[in-house]
Amino acid sequence: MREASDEDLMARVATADAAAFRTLCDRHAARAAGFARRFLGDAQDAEDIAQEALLRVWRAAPRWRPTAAFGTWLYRIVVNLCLNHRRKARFLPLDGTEEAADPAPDALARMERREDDLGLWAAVADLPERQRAAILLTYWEGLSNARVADILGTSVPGVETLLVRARRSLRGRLGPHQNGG
Amino acid sequence: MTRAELERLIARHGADRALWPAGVRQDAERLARRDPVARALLKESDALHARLAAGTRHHPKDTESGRRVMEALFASPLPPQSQSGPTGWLPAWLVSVDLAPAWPSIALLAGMALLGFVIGTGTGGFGLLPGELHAPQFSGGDVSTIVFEPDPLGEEVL
Repeated sequence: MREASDEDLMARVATADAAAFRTLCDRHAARAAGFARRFLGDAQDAEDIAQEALLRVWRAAPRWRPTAAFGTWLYRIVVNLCLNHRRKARFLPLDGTEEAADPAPDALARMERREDDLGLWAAVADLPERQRAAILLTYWEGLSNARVADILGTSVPGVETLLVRARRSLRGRLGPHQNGG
Repeated sequence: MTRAELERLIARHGADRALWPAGVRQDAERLARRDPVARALLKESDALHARLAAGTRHHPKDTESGRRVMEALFASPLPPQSQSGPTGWLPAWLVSVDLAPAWPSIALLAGMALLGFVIGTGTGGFGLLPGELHAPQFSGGDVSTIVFEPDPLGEEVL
């Protein structure tokens, strides 16, 4: 049996179907919280924002029109809430550097890897908000420039400019050594 | 191709040059062969891309966060949905960006400004301004009176 798409679920959520909403949240809560955590650098704030974003989805569901993918709309809400949070992303705590995909086999290499990741996270956290959002959506969420443009309310060339500037900043901040060069 | 164009191409197509359009990739490789700075740029971009992409998209932390969000969401009854209202005709994305609540007041302000303009210019047929009133006019002679003619340097100053 075909799994209901997000858009199908939204049509049911629009009729106050709480079970459909729960399924939708099940699909997207972790992703929304994960994005907000990376953007803000704070897990608690990120969970608050994910919860608020999903509540907005519930409230606005009767007015929702499927002009864009549900995921794009949800990201747009999360990004706007993060931008409105107006709290500069703090330096991530050390356990926030667990993002590495392949832990090194020995302790020294692992420690070096964690230090590298800490530097990368700090550099990303220091980016201007829209550049940070573009980098996170592109690299961590793997979205196309067109979708990122849709989420950030800009054009594709606008996203390219954000990415060029962000990458310049990151290269300057990380330097050739930290950058693996 | 210039270095700036190369940077934009990296932003447009990503760091994996195998995915670039063939012609563009060849141009970039030609530039990298003759320009050491462009070559370093490509190398740094590759390294940066690898580091950024190394982050797992769905970390266990995200799953835990998602579970807590779900618990908090469904711990109490869901709030009522907004079936209609002053923003009902707005696209959903606009409602989501916190702009929507401001729209009624912006509309009110714009309406008042328009009303003020109509009354002020008397173009609305309200009859508030007498029709015989005309905009003031200046004759050529009037202009001469407002031309500033500096005094010539008086010899007494010297």
